[in-house]
Amino acid sequence: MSVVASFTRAHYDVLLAVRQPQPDYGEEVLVDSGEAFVFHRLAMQDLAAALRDRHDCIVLEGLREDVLPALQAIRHAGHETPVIVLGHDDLGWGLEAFDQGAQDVLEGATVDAALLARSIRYGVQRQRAELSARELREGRLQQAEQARLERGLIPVPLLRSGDVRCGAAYRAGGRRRLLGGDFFDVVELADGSVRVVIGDVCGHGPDEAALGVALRVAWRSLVLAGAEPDATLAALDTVFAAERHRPGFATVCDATIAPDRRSLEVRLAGHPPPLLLAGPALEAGTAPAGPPLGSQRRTTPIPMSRWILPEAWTMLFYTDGLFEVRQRDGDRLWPEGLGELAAQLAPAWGDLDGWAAKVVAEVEALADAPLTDDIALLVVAYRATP
Amino acid sequence: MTASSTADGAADSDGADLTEPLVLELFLGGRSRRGVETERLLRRIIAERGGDGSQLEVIDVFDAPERAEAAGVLATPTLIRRSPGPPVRVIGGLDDARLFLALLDLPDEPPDDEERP
Repeated sequence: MSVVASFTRAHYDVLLAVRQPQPDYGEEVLVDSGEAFVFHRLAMQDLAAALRDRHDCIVLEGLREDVLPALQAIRHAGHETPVIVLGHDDLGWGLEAFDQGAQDVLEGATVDAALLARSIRYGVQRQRAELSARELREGRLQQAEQARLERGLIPVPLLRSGDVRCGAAYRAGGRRRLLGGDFFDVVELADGSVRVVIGDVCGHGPDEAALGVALRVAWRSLVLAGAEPDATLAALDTVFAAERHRPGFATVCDATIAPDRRSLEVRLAGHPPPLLLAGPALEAGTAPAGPPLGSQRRTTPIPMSRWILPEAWTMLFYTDGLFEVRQRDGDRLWPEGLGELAAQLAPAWGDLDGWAAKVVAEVEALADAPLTDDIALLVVAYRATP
Repeated sequence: MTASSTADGAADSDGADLTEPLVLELFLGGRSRRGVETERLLRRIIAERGGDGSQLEVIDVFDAPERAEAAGVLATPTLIRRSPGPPVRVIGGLDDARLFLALLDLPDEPPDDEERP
Protein backbone atom coordinates (compact mmCIF):
# COMPACT_ATOMS: atom_id res chain seq x y z
CA MET A 1 0.00 0.00 0.00
CA SER A 2 2.06 2.88 -1.27
CA VAL A 3 -0.37 5.48 0.03
CA VAL A 4 -0.18 4.04 3.51
CA ALA A 5 3.60 3.91 3.34
CA SER A 6 3.91 7.49 2.13
CA PHE A 7 1.44 9.01 4.57
CA THR A 8 2.05 7.09 7.77
CA ARG A 9 4.94 6.58 10.17
CA ALA A 10 4.37 2.94 11.07
CA HIS A 11 2.60 0.08 9.37
CA TYR A 12 1.12 -2.87 11.25
CA ASP A 13 0.03 -6.06 9.47
CA VAL A 14 -3.07 -7.35 11.21
CA LEU A 15 -4.63 -10.74 10.58
CA LEU A 16 -8.40 -10.38 10.95
CA ALA A 17 -10.36 -13.59 11.42
CA VAL A 18 -14.13 -13.10 11.29
CA ARG A 19 -17.18 -15.27 11.77
CA GLN A 20 -18.82 -14.63 8.43
CA PRO A 21 -16.58 -13.12 5.79
CA GLN A 22 -18.17 -11.65 2.73
CA PRO A 23 -16.49 -12.06 -0.62
CA ASP A 24 -14.38 -9.19 -1.86
CA TYR A 25 -13.94 -6.83 1.00
CA GLY A 26 -11.16 -5.16 -0.92
CA GLU A 27 -8.45 -3.34 0.91
CA GLU A 28 -9.06 -2.40 4.50
CA VAL A 29 -6.92 -0.06 6.51
CA LEU A 30 -7.28 1.64 9.87
CA VAL A 31 -5.48 4.96 10.21
CA ASP A 32 -4.82 6.55 13.57
CA SER A 33 -2.30 9.11 14.82
CA GLY A 34 -0.17 8.82 11.72
CA GLU A 35 0.04 5.02 11.91
CA ALA A 36 -1.64 2.52 9.58
CA PHE A 37 -3.06 -0.88 10.46
CA VAL A 38 -3.56 -2.96 7.33
CA PHE A 39 -6.07 -5.77 7.81
CA HIS A 40 -5.90 -9.15 6.08
CA ARG A 41 -9.41 -10.53 6.44
CA LEU A 42 -10.23 -14.22 6.36
CA ALA A 43 -12.77 -16.70 7.69
CA MET A 44 -12.24 -18.04 11.20
CA GLN A 45 -11.98 -21.61 9.89
CA ASP A 46 -9.01 -20.59 7.73
CA LEU A 47 -7.09 -19.13 10.65
CA ALA A 48 -4.86 -22.16 11.34
CA ALA A 49 -3.31 -22.07 7.86
CA ALA A 50 -2.76 -18.31 8.04
CA LEU A 51 -0.82 -18.62 11.30
CA ARG A 52 2.17 -19.83 9.28
CA ASP A 53 2.71 -16.26 8.09
CA ARG A 54 4.01 -13.59 10.39
CA HIS A 55 1.69 -10.79 11.46
CA ASP A 56 2.05 -8.05 14.04
CA CYS A 57 -1.33 -8.76 15.59
CA ILE A 58 -4.35 -11.02 15.26
CA VAL A 59 -7.89 -9.68 15.64
CA LEU A 60 -10.65 -12.22 16.22
CA GLU A 61 -14.15 -11.00 15.58
CA GLY A 62 -17.21 -13.06 16.40
CA LEU A 63 -19.21 -14.81 19.09
CA ARG A 64 -17.91 -16.76 22.06
CA GLU A 65 -18.29 -20.03 20.18
CA ASP A 66 -16.06 -18.71 17.39
CA VAL A 67 -13.47 -16.84 19.38
CA LEU A 68 -12.59 -19.16 22.27
CA PRO A 69 -11.69 -22.17 20.06
CA ALA A 70 -9.62 -19.86 17.85
CA LEU A 71 -7.76 -18.55 20.89
CA GLN A 72 -7.07 -22.12 21.98
CA ALA A 73 -5.79 -22.99 18.51
CA ILE A 74 -3.45 -20.00 18.53
CA ARG A 75 -2.14 -20.92 21.97
CA HIS A 76 -1.67 -24.58 21.08
CA ALA A 77 0.23 -23.56 17.96
CA GLY A 78 2.68 -21.79 20.26
CA HIS A 79 1.99 -18.48 18.54
CA GLU A 80 3.17 -15.41 20.42
CA THR A 81 1.43 -12.82 18.25
CA PRO A 82 -0.81 -10.58 20.39
CA VAL A 83 -4.53 -11.27 19.95
CA ILE A 84 -7.33 -8.69 20.26
CA VAL A 85 -10.91 -9.89 20.49
CA LEU A 86 -13.87 -8.01 19.03
CA GLY A 87 -16.86 -9.69 20.61
CA HIS A 88 -20.30 -9.56 19.06
CA ASP A 89 -22.44 -10.47 22.01
CA ASP A 90 -22.70 -9.36 25.62
CA LEU A 91 -19.03 -10.15 26.31
CA GLY A 92 -19.84 -11.98 29.52
CA TRP A 93 -17.16 -14.39 28.31
CA GLY A 94 -14.49 -11.68 28.16
CA LEU A 95 -12.58 -13.10 31.14
CA GLU A 96 -12.48 -16.51 29.48
CA ALA A 97 -10.92 -14.86 26.44
CA PHE A 98 -8.25 -13.24 28.63
CA ASP A 99 -7.61 -16.62 30.24
CA GLN A 100 -7.08 -18.10 26.78
CA GLY A 101 -4.45 -15.51 25.96
CA ALA A 102 -6.32 -12.52 24.53
CA GLN A 103 -4.50 -9.22 25.11
CA ASP A 104 -7.70 -7.19 25.00
CA VAL A 105 -11.45 -7.70 24.53
CA LEU A 106 -13.56 -5.00 22.86
CA GLU A 107 -17.11 -4.75 21.68
CA GLY A 108 -17.08 -5.15 17.91
CA ALA A 109 -18.73 -2.85 15.34
CA THR A 110 -19.51 -0.14 17.85
CA VAL A 111 -15.94 0.20 19.04
CA ASP A 112 -14.24 3.48 18.30
CA ALA A 113 -11.50 3.23 15.66
CA ALA A 114 -9.01 5.07 17.86
CA LEU A 115 -9.68 2.63 20.69
CA LEU A 116 -9.12 -0.35 18.39
CA ALA A 117 -5.89 1.21 17.10
CA ARG A 118 -4.69 1.84 20.64
CA SER A 119 -5.53 -1.69 21.69
CA ILE A 120 -3.56 -3.19 18.78
CA ARG A 121 -0.66 -0.82 19.34
CA TYR A 122 -0.46 -1.57 23.06
CA GLY A 123 -0.84 -5.30 22.41
CA VAL A 124 2.10 -5.28 20.02
CA GLN A 125 4.25 -3.18 22.34
CA ARG A 126 3.36 -5.29 25.37
CA GLN A 127 4.26 -8.45 23.48
CA ARG A 128 7.58 -6.97 22.39
CA ALA A 129 8.34 -5.93 25.96
CA GLU A 130 7.51 -9.41 27.22
CA LEU A 131 9.76 -11.00 24.60
CA SER A 132 12.60 -8.66 25.52
CA ALA A 133 12.12 -9.39 29.21
CA ARG A 134 12.09 -13.12 28.52
CA GLU A 135 15.25 -12.91 26.40
CA LEU A 136 16.91 -10.96 29.18
CA ARG A 137 15.79 -13.55 31.74
CA GLU A 138 17.03 -16.41 29.56
CA GLY A 139 20.31 -14.59 29.00
CA ARG A 140 20.80 -14.23 32.74
CA LEU A 141 20.00 -17.89 33.31
CA GLN A 142 22.48 -18.84 30.59
CA GLN A 143 25.10 -16.61 32.18
CA ALA A 144 24.52 -18.24 35.56
CA GLU A 145 24.74 -21.67 33.97
CA GLN A 146 27.96 -20.69 32.22
CA ALA A 147 29.39 -19.36 35.45
CA ARG A 148 28.63 -22.67 37.18
CA LEU A 149 30.29 -24.64 34.40
CA GLU A 150 33.23 -22.25 34.31
CA ARG A 151 33.79 -22.78 38.01
CA GLY A 152 33.86 -26.52 37.29
CA LEU A 153 36.37 -26.08 34.49
CA ILE A 154 38.66 -23.78 36.43
CA PRO A 155 39.46 -25.24 39.86
CA VAL A 156 41.43 -24.00 42.82
CA PRO A 157 44.86 -25.68 42.49
CA LEU A 158 45.85 -28.07 45.27
CA LEU A 159 49.37 -26.88 46.02
CA ARG A 160 50.98 -27.26 49.44
CA SER A 161 54.58 -26.15 48.89
CA GLY A 162 55.41 -22.52 48.34
CA ASP A 163 58.04 -23.20 45.70
CA VAL A 164 55.55 -23.97 42.95
CA ARG A 165 52.92 -21.47 42.05
CA CYS A 166 50.39 -21.28 39.31
CA GLY A 167 48.18 -18.78 37.58
CA ALA A 168 45.62 -19.08 34.85
CA ALA A 169 43.53 -17.20 32.33
CA TYR A 170 40.40 -18.44 30.64
CA ARG A 171 38.19 -16.84 28.00
CA ALA A 172 34.96 -18.27 26.69
CA GLY A 173 34.85 -18.06 22.91
CA GLY A 174 33.03 -15.86 20.46
CA ARG A 175 30.97 -12.73 20.81
CA ARG A 176 28.41 -14.65 22.83
CA ARG A 177 31.20 -15.89 25.12
CA LEU A 178 30.18 -19.49 24.64
CA LEU A 179 31.87 -21.93 26.94
CA GLY A 180 33.90 -24.69 25.40
CA GLY A 181 35.44 -27.77 26.90
CA ASP A 182 38.87 -26.41 27.86
CA PHE A 183 39.86 -27.54 31.34
CA PHE A 184 42.92 -27.74 33.56
CA ASP A 185 43.96 -28.70 37.07
CA VAL A 186 46.99 -28.84 39.35
CA VAL A 187 47.46 -31.22 42.28
CA GLU A 188 50.50 -31.60 44.53
CA LEU A 189 50.78 -35.09 45.99
CA ALA A 190 52.07 -36.18 49.37
CA ASP A 191 55.48 -37.16 47.91
CA GLY A 192 55.96 -33.57 46.70
CA SER A 193 55.38 -34.29 43.02
CA VAL A 194 53.03 -31.94 41.22
CA ARG A 195 50.59 -33.30 38.69
CA VAL A 196 49.29 -30.96 36.00
CA VAL A 197 46.64 -31.47 33.35
CA ILE A 198 45.19 -29.34 30.60
CA GLY A 199 42.67 -30.58 28.08
CA ASP A 200 40.32 -29.51 25.33
CA VAL A 201 37.05 -31.21 24.42
CA CYS A 202 36.34 -30.51 20.75
CA GLY A 203 33.34 -28.28 20.10
CA HIS A 204 31.61 -25.49 22.01
CA GLY A 205 28.59 -25.25 24.20
CA PRO A 206 27.24 -26.52 27.49
CA ASP A 207 27.55 -30.22 26.54
CA GLU A 208 31.25 -29.83 25.79
CA ALA A 209 31.77 -27.72 28.91
CA ALA A 210 30.03 -30.33 31.05
CA LEU A 211 32.22 -33.01 29.51
CA GLY A 212 35.29 -30.90 30.29
CA VAL A 213 34.16 -30.62 33.91
CA ALA A 214 33.60 -34.39 34.06
CA LEU A 215 37.10 -35.07 32.72
CA ARG A 216 38.74 -32.62 35.11
CA VAL A 217 36.97 -34.02 38.15
CA ALA A 218 37.75 -37.57 37.04
CA TRP A 219 41.41 -36.62 36.57
CA ARG A 220 41.62 -35.01 40.02
CA SER A 221 39.90 -38.00 41.67
CA LEU A 222 42.22 -40.46 39.97
CA VAL A 223 45.31 -38.46 40.87
CA LEU A 224 44.27 -38.05 44.51
CA ALA A 225 43.53 -41.77 44.63
CA GLY A 226 47.12 -42.42 43.61
CA ALA A 227 46.60 -43.48 39.98
CA GLU A 228 49.76 -43.35 37.89
CA PRO A 229 49.74 -41.13 34.78
CA ASP A 230 49.28 -44.00 32.32
CA ALA A 231 46.39 -45.42 34.32
CA THR A 232 44.93 -41.93 34.70
CA LEU A 233 44.91 -41.32 30.95
CA ALA A 234 43.47 -44.75 30.22
CA ALA A 235 40.68 -44.12 32.73
CA LEU A 236 40.04 -40.66 31.27
CA ASP A 237 39.64 -42.27 27.86
CA THR A 238 37.02 -44.60 29.30
CA VAL A 239 35.23 -41.74 31.05
CA PHE A 240 35.23 -39.70 27.85
CA ALA A 241 33.78 -42.56 25.79
CA ALA A 242 31.07 -43.14 28.40
CA GLU A 243 30.10 -39.51 28.96
CA ARG A 244 30.15 -37.99 25.49
CA HIS A 245 26.80 -37.48 23.80
CA ARG A 246 28.05 -37.46 20.24
CA PRO A 247 31.17 -38.51 18.36
CA GLY A 248 34.18 -36.37 19.09
CA PHE A 249 37.52 -36.30 20.79
CA ALA A 250 39.40 -34.54 23.54
CA THR A 251 43.07 -33.68 23.71
CA VAL A 252 44.96 -33.87 27.00
CA CYS A 253 48.40 -32.97 28.25
CA ASP A 254 49.28 -34.75 31.50
CA ALA A 255 52.50 -33.64 33.22
CA THR A 256 54.26 -34.69 36.40
CA ILE A 257 56.81 -32.42 38.02
CA ALA A 258 59.31 -34.32 40.16
CA PRO A 259 59.52 -33.50 43.87
CA ASP A 260 62.94 -31.88 43.32
CA ARG A 261 61.42 -29.72 40.53
CA ARG A 262 64.28 -30.55 38.17
CA SER A 263 62.48 -32.93 35.84
CA LEU A 264 59.15 -33.28 34.13
CA GLU A 265 57.32 -36.22 32.62
CA VAL A 266 54.99 -35.28 29.81
CA ARG A 267 52.29 -37.37 28.21
CA LEU A 268 50.41 -35.90 25.28
CA ALA A 269 47.11 -37.30 24.03
CA GLY A 270 46.80 -35.22 20.87
CA HIS A 271 47.69 -32.06 22.79
CA PRO A 272 50.59 -29.66 22.16
CA PRO A 273 53.50 -29.81 24.64
CA PRO A 274 54.00 -27.17 27.32
CA LEU A 275 56.28 -24.22 26.69
CA LEU A 276 59.24 -23.90 29.02
CA LEU A 277 60.74 -20.56 30.01
CA ALA A 278 64.06 -20.54 31.87
CA GLY A 279 64.20 -17.02 33.18
CA PRO A 280 63.32 -14.88 30.16
CA ALA A 281 64.49 -17.46 27.62
CA LEU A 282 62.25 -19.87 25.77
CA GLU A 283 63.59 -23.40 25.88
CA ALA A 284 62.42 -25.70 23.17
CA GLY A 285 60.85 -28.85 24.51
CA THR A 286 59.47 -31.58 22.32
CA ALA A 287 57.47 -34.66 23.06
CA PRO A 288 55.83 -37.28 20.83
CA ALA A 289 52.06 -37.15 21.00
CA GLY A 290 49.71 -40.11 21.17
CA PRO A 291 46.15 -40.02 19.82
CA PRO A 292 43.52 -37.95 21.62
CA LEU A 293 40.89 -39.37 23.93
CA GLY A 294 38.03 -40.90 21.98
CA SER A 295 40.27 -41.93 19.10
CA GLN A 296 39.76 -45.29 17.43
CA ARG A 297 43.55 -45.53 17.08
CA ARG A 298 43.95 -45.71 20.83
CA THR A 299 47.32 -46.99 21.96
CA THR A 300 48.27 -47.70 25.50
CA PRO A 301 50.21 -46.26 27.05
CA ILE A 302 50.58 -42.75 25.67
CA PRO A 303 54.28 -42.04 24.93
CA MET A 304 56.11 -40.36 27.81
CA SER A 305 58.89 -37.76 27.48
CA ARG A 306 61.17 -36.68 30.30
CA TRP A 307 62.45 -33.12 30.35
CA ILE A 308 65.28 -31.84 32.49
CA LEU A 309 64.30 -28.54 34.03
CA PRO A 310 66.51 -25.55 34.85
CA GLU A 311 67.01 -24.15 38.35
CA ALA A 312 64.07 -21.81 38.00
CA TRP A 313 61.41 -22.15 35.39
CA THR A 314 58.00 -21.16 34.17
CA MET A 315 55.83 -23.49 32.12
CA LEU A 316 52.87 -22.60 29.97
CA PHE A 317 50.14 -25.14 29.37
CA TYR A 318 47.61 -23.95 26.80
CA THR A 319 44.83 -24.91 24.43
CA ASP A 320 44.68 -24.47 20.68
CA GLY A 321 42.46 -21.38 20.82
CA LEU A 322 45.52 -19.51 22.01
CA PHE A 323 47.96 -20.40 19.23
CA GLU A 324 45.61 -20.91 16.28
CA VAL A 325 44.88 -17.20 16.35
CA ARG A 326 45.32 -15.71 12.91
CA GLN A 327 47.42 -12.56 13.08
CA ARG A 328 46.93 -9.48 10.97
CA ASP A 329 49.62 -10.63 8.51
CA GLY A 330 47.54 -13.78 7.91
CA ASP A 331 49.86 -16.22 9.68
CA ARG A 332 48.80 -18.20 12.69
CA LEU A 333 50.62 -17.62 15.96
CA TRP A 334 51.50 -21.30 16.58
CA PRO A 335 53.06 -22.45 19.89
CA GLU A 336 56.47 -21.03 18.98
CA GLY A 337 55.01 -17.58 18.52
CA LEU A 338 53.10 -17.89 21.76
CA GLY A 339 56.30 -18.87 23.56
CA GLU A 340 58.24 -15.94 22.11
CA LEU A 341 55.46 -13.55 23.06
CA ALA A 342 55.37 -14.93 26.62
CA ALA A 343 59.16 -14.72 26.95
CA GLN A 344 59.08 -11.04 25.95
CA LEU A 345 56.58 -10.33 28.70
CA ALA A 346 58.90 -11.72 31.43
CA PRO A 347 56.96 -13.91 33.87
CA ALA A 348 55.84 -12.19 37.07
CA TRP A 349 56.42 -14.61 39.96
CA GLY A 350 54.35 -12.50 42.31
CA ASP A 351 51.27 -12.38 40.10
CA LEU A 352 51.00 -15.32 37.75
CA ASP A 353 47.25 -14.85 37.25
CA GLY A 354 47.85 -11.29 36.14
CA TRP A 355 50.72 -12.36 33.92
CA ALA A 356 48.60 -15.08 32.28
CA ALA A 357 45.87 -12.53 31.63
CA LYS A 358 48.47 -10.24 30.11
CA VAL A 359 49.66 -12.98 27.75
CA VAL A 360 46.09 -13.66 26.64
CA ALA A 361 45.44 -9.95 26.15
CA GLU A 362 48.56 -9.68 23.98
CA VAL A 363 47.41 -12.61 21.87
CA GLU A 364 43.98 -11.03 21.47
CA ALA A 365 45.64 -7.79 20.40
CA LEU A 366 47.58 -9.65 17.71
CA ALA A 367 44.48 -11.32 16.29
CA ASP A 368 42.94 -9.95 13.12
CA ALA A 369 39.42 -10.66 14.40
CA PRO A 370 37.70 -11.41 17.73
CA LEU A 371 38.66 -14.85 19.01
CA THR A 372 35.96 -17.41 18.29
CA ASP A 373 37.45 -20.34 20.20
CA ASP A 374 37.65 -20.54 23.96
CA ILE A 375 41.15 -20.29 25.30
CA ALA A 376 42.85 -21.55 28.44
CA LEU A 377 46.31 -20.74 29.68
CA LEU A 378 47.78 -22.35 32.77
CA VAL A 379 51.09 -21.06 34.05
CA VAL A 380 53.11 -23.16 36.51
CA ALA A 381 56.34 -21.70 37.87
CA TYR A 382 59.10 -22.77 40.25
CA ARG A 383 61.49 -20.74 42.32
CA ALA A 384 63.70 -22.34 45.01
CA THR A 385 62.54 -21.16 48.41
CA PRO A 386 65.30 -19.37 50.40
CA MET B 1 -4.67 1.30 -4.19
CA THR B 2 -2.68 4.46 -4.80
CA ALA B 3 -3.31 8.13 -4.20
CA SER B 4 -2.55 9.40 -7.65
CA SER B 5 -4.73 9.34 -10.68
CA THR B 6 -3.45 9.02 -14.21
CA ALA B 7 -2.61 12.16 -16.17
CA ASP B 8 -6.14 12.66 -17.42
CA GLY B 9 -7.55 11.83 -14.01
CA ALA B 10 -9.72 9.09 -15.42
CA ALA B 11 -8.47 6.02 -13.63
CA ASP B 12 -6.19 5.05 -10.76
CA SER B 13 -3.82 2.12 -10.57
CA ASP B 14 -6.30 -0.29 -8.99
CA GLY B 15 -8.46 -0.04 -12.05
CA ALA B 16 -11.12 2.22 -10.61
CA ASP B 17 -12.58 4.51 -13.25
CA LEU B 18 -12.88 7.75 -11.33
CA THR B 19 -15.29 9.17 -13.88
CA GLU B 20 -17.80 6.56 -12.76
CA PRO B 21 -20.26 7.58 -10.04
CA LEU B 22 -19.03 7.27 -6.47
CA VAL B 23 -20.96 4.99 -4.16
CA LEU B 24 -19.91 5.57 -0.57
CA GLU B 25 -21.14 4.28 2.78
CA LEU B 26 -20.09 6.06 5.93
CA PHE B 27 -20.65 4.15 9.19
CA LEU B 28 -20.61 6.34 12.28
CA GLY B 29 -21.06 5.59 15.95
CA GLY B 30 -23.40 8.38 16.95
CA ARG B 31 -23.15 11.96 15.79
CA SER B 32 -19.69 13.21 16.58
CA ARG B 33 -18.24 16.50 15.37
CA ARG B 34 -15.69 14.63 13.24
CA GLY B 35 -18.42 12.49 11.74
CA VAL B 36 -20.46 15.53 10.82
CA GLU B 37 -17.41 17.24 9.28
CA THR B 38 -16.57 14.14 7.25
CA GLU B 39 -20.11 13.78 6.03
CA ARG B 40 -20.11 17.41 4.87
CA LEU B 41 -16.77 16.95 3.13
CA LEU B 42 -17.96 13.89 1.26
CA ARG B 43 -21.26 15.51 0.29
CA ARG B 44 -19.34 18.45 -1.07
CA ILE B 45 -17.13 16.13 -3.17
CA ILE B 46 -20.23 14.44 -4.54
CA ALA B 47 -21.89 17.77 -5.26
CA GLU B 48 -18.82 18.91 -7.18
CA ARG B 49 -19.20 15.91 -9.46
CA GLY B 50 -22.28 17.57 -10.88
CA GLY B 51 -25.04 15.04 -10.36
CA ASP B 52 -23.34 12.07 -12.01
CA GLY B 53 -25.24 9.65 -9.83
CA SER B 54 -22.67 9.59 -7.04
CA GLN B 55 -24.15 8.94 -3.65
CA LEU B 56 -23.27 8.84 0.01
CA GLU B 57 -25.18 6.86 2.61
CA VAL B 58 -24.53 7.60 6.26
CA ILE B 59 -25.38 4.82 8.71
CA ASP B 60 -25.34 5.15 12.48
CA VAL B 61 -24.35 1.73 13.83
CA PHE B 62 -26.34 2.33 17.03
CA ASP B 63 -29.50 2.86 14.96
CA ALA B 64 -28.83 0.09 12.46
CA PRO B 65 -26.49 -2.53 13.99
CA GLU B 66 -27.68 -5.09 11.48
CA ARG B 67 -26.30 -2.93 8.66
CA ALA B 68 -22.92 -2.73 10.39
CA GLU B 69 -22.86 -6.48 10.90
CA ALA B 70 -23.89 -7.18 7.33
CA ALA B 71 -21.15 -4.88 6.07
CA GLY B 72 -18.56 -6.43 8.41
CA VAL B 73 -17.79 -3.10 10.04
CA LEU B 74 -15.06 -3.46 12.65
CA ALA B 75 -15.11 -0.03 14.20
CA THR B 76 -16.40 3.45 13.62
CA PRO B 77 -15.98 5.57 11.67
CA THR B 78 -15.63 3.38 8.59
CA LEU B 79 -15.99 4.64 5.06
CA ILE B 80 -16.55 2.07 2.33
CA ARG B 81 -16.11 2.98 -1.30
CA ARG B 82 -18.34 0.50 -3.09
CA SER B 83 -17.56 1.86 -6.49
CA PRO B 84 -15.88 2.66 -8.73
CA GLY B 85 -13.36 -0.17 -8.77
CA PRO B 86 -12.78 -2.81 -6.13
CA PRO B 87 -14.16 -2.00 -2.70
CA VAL B 88 -11.94 -0.04 -0.35
CA ARG B 89 -12.62 0.63 3.30
CA VAL B 90 -10.88 3.10 5.55
CA ILE B 91 -11.39 2.95 9.29
CA GLY B 92 -10.74 6.04 11.37
CA GLY B 93 -8.49 8.56 9.71
CA LEU B 94 -10.88 11.45 9.92
CA ASP B 95 -8.23 13.58 11.58
CA ASP B 96 -6.24 13.68 8.35
CA ALA B 97 -8.55 14.58 5.49
CA ARG B 98 -5.76 14.41 2.92
CA LEU B 99 -4.79 10.86 3.86
CA PHE B 100 -8.40 9.87 4.23
CA LEU B 101 -9.20 11.00 0.70
CA ALA B 102 -6.00 9.61 -0.77
CA LEU B 103 -6.73 6.17 0.62
CA LEU B 104 -10.09 6.27 -1.12
CA ASP B 105 -8.66 7.67 -4.36
CA LEU B 106 -10.85 10.68 -3.95
CA PRO B 107 -9.70 14.15 -5.05
CA ASP B 108 -6.85 15.00 -2.74
CA GLU B 109 -7.40 18.74 -2.52
CA PRO B 110 -9.57 19.54 0.46
CA PRO B 111 -12.05 22.39 0.08
CA ASP B 112 -10.86 25.95 0.59
CA ASP B 113 -10.55 26.97 4.20
CA GLU B 114 -13.41 29.45 4.05
CA GLU B 115 -15.67 26.78 2.64
CA ARG B 116 -14.87 24.19 5.28
CA PRO B 117 -17.76 23.32 7.53
